[in-house]
Amino acid sequence: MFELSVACKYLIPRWRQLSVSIISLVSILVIALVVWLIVVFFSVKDGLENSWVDKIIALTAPIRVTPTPKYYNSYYYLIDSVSAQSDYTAKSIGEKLVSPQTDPYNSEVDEEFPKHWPAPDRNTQGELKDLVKLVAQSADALPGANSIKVTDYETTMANVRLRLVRPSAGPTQQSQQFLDHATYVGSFDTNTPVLAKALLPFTAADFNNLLHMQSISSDNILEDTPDTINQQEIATLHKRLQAFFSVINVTALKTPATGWRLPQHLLPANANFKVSILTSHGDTSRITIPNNPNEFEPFPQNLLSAHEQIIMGELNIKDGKRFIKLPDQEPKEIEAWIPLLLEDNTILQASIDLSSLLQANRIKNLHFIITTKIQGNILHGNVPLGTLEIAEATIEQSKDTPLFAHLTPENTTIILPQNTAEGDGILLPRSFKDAGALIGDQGYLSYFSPTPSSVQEQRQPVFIAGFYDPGIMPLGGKYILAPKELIGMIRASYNSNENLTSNGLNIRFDNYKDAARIKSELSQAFEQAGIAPYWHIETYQEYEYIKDLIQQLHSEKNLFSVISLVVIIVACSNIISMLIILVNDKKLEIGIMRSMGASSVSIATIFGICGMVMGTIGSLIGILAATLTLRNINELVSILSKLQGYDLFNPVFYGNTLPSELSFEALSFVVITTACISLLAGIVPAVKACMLRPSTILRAE
Amino acid sequence: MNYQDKPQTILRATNLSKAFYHPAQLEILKDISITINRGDTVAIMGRSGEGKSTLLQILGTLDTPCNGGLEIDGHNITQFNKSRIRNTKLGFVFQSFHLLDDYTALENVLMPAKIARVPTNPSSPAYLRACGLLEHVGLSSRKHYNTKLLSGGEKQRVAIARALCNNPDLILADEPSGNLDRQTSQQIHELLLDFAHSHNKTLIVVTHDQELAHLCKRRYNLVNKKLVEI
Repeated sequence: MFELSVACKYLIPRWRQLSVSIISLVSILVIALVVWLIVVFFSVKDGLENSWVDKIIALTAPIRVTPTPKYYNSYYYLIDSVSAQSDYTAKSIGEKLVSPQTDPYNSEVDEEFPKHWPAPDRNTQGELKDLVKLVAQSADALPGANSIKVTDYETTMANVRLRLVRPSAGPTQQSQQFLDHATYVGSFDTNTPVLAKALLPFTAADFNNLLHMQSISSDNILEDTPDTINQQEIATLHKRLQAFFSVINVTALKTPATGWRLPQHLLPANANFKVSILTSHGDTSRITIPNNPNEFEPFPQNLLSAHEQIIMGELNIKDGKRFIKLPDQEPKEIEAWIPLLLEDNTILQASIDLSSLLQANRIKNLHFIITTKIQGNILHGNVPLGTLEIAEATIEQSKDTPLFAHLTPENTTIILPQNTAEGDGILLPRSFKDAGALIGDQGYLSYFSPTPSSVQEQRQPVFIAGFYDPGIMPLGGKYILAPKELIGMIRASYNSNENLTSNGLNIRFDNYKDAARIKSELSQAFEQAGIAPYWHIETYQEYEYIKDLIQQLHSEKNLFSVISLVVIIVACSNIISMLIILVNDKKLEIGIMRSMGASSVSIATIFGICGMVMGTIGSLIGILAATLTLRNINELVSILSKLQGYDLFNPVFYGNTLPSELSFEALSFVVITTACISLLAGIVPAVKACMLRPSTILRAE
Repeated sequence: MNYQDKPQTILRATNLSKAFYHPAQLEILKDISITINRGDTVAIMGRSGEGKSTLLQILGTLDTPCNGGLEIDGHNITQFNKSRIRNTKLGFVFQSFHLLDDYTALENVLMPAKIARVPTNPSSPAYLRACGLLEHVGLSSRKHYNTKLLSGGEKQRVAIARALCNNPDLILADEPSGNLDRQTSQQIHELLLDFAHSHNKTLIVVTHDQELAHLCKRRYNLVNKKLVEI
């Protein structure tokens, strides 16, 4: 194509047209910069939105089907309360879902039900409609039903009270604090793979607490304020330690904040260390080995006594004997009793000495085999845990454990421990972790149950099996997840007060963006099955507690799209000035080509193509840069966070890592917009070019 | 249709007038009528500033007359068919050669074919014709040279080959040897006239060169806005 070949010729930079080349380059770079910014911004924003919605759906579902008042006033719901087969108790939706009998009423055995009750809703065969099972059947019959899963959920309210047992400097070396919180308690559904994304990883503090809790008995956990922190019996402790170390592989320990007295047997026979020496009245009283001597900050001199002094020197160990060498002094042998400490937070590579699991009568007596390098010297030996703490550990993903919530080996479902000696495992939102709770902490859920004479408090023991990140969900801070059976028990006690509880069916499927379509198909299916009046269908966008948030996210997206459009227009306007210069530069060539029969449309097309190609090249560079940026977004954010001194993105809102997937929506928006606007930008100079009269140009030249 | 079947008149201009209005009104041409037949070689002479080049540009559809009509090969010239007529029926040779700088000699010659959107790959008829034309003007060894590297005479020979690329009926030359030495000028004149005679092409040439004018079949003098046949 003639126009394309000429446009390509014009786009190749030449020394003769340095100014045009520089302006072109700047135009392309500006477009690239804008495209980079928009693609990165929208990709991160889209990713965040998706992860927020994922987290919201992790606790609920893309679609929820809840009973209407007509359901609770139906014969189907009420009949259980007068039927012997149902123990004269109304059934929850979950119970209805698995109940083999739709109509438990037996007129020969059961009392006559009140006359004002509604008539049974029967199908054309005269059978009572099973309102709950028909929901599941309708969902199963939808197109693409393979990915649709129907599960019941229950939500209730309870008070959670956790006992936080922590090491302390007191005589018992342990202290206990209590954390009380009134919360919503939702039923935990194992079939929520999305929840796996929201689970917070273990921290070193979690590992330490979980290990520590293996020695604490939950005998008195249901007391208001237990007087003592009871220790487990030795046999139980050994079993629990074996269970702990069968799934947790400790790889490193760290020294406590007070430093750690280095056992003599860890030291090699010959070694050299740079050390900080505390002298008292001129005699060495303590030696500290810093982890990194170049960054070591000794205890401030002004906080020492007048007769004390800290000096940096060298510790030489020769054939087991210790020599101190102070600056400008000869080495001097020191006595073995002088304490030799490792600086606080020194990491020691270590592994558990399995033989100690059955010998330790306390956690502190567990033995670890240390093999680590300090200042180039290898320390090796078997030491008790003592005041050391776990610094790093890994979890054996393939093993089942009653200690904490974990993924199945296929990474598809989460297993929440139930019915252990400490009670049921619960998953807590991040806010509890921020308040000081750790995995392994024990406590109870308390709720009130009516009895014939009074209302009594009931307590169910629980322990923290994990934490999840609720994202920005308004309820997130007070929504805990517990096994369904536990919720059912609590909910049953609130039966008379439905405001505090809710019950319904979660409809889950692969892509939550199909929610509106599936809702409409489900509504039609309910109409056909004749159960529409009994059920209310909501998509996640309609949930009362997140509706405003979702709308706000959409509004922001629209606003940012408009801003992006304006920025792209400004960036592409550079192309206009560059092309006008190019038209002036190529005036003679335009005249020559016109004399050879090139039409004005062809000339305009040449410059239009130039504009579009520049826009496209700028876009491609921007997209490439954006892809690279997104791949390294977390490193970039951590650098920027370090520079400004605090987190660039608060993990409470944005999670621990930013999304790094390129948003296809953002990409198509930017590519199409830039191409169109740069083509439009090319039109102004193109019109100028085609208005030039060949006779005028050729005469002037 | 071969050229014997084509209309005998290749160009008919009727009452052409041209005036410029800026900075002041200046009438250059007035009521000029001329009919040129196929195969004619026509020389237009006159003093500098009389409007010879303007007349040639009007005849070549590069400029628009204020009044009057123009017909080329039986087609009335309008705003909409000018480009196509220029591409298929006309070939221009300018005093300043007006070659495209960033292209080779062969690319320059092929440009009208590209504009006509005919294939120009090395096996195409247009490519072979362009090579033949360059060979004819004695530049086959320099066809891949950038035109900046060619001498004035070579440039003009490339321009002549380019003017003939689409096999036009009418060649319009504006002082084709104005920038060349005498010997080169003679070669260019012979080349142009040879082409015109051997291919039955019509040549309209604006020139001060009496020698070139005398080689043409018809000669006109532009005096006082009028064209007078000598």
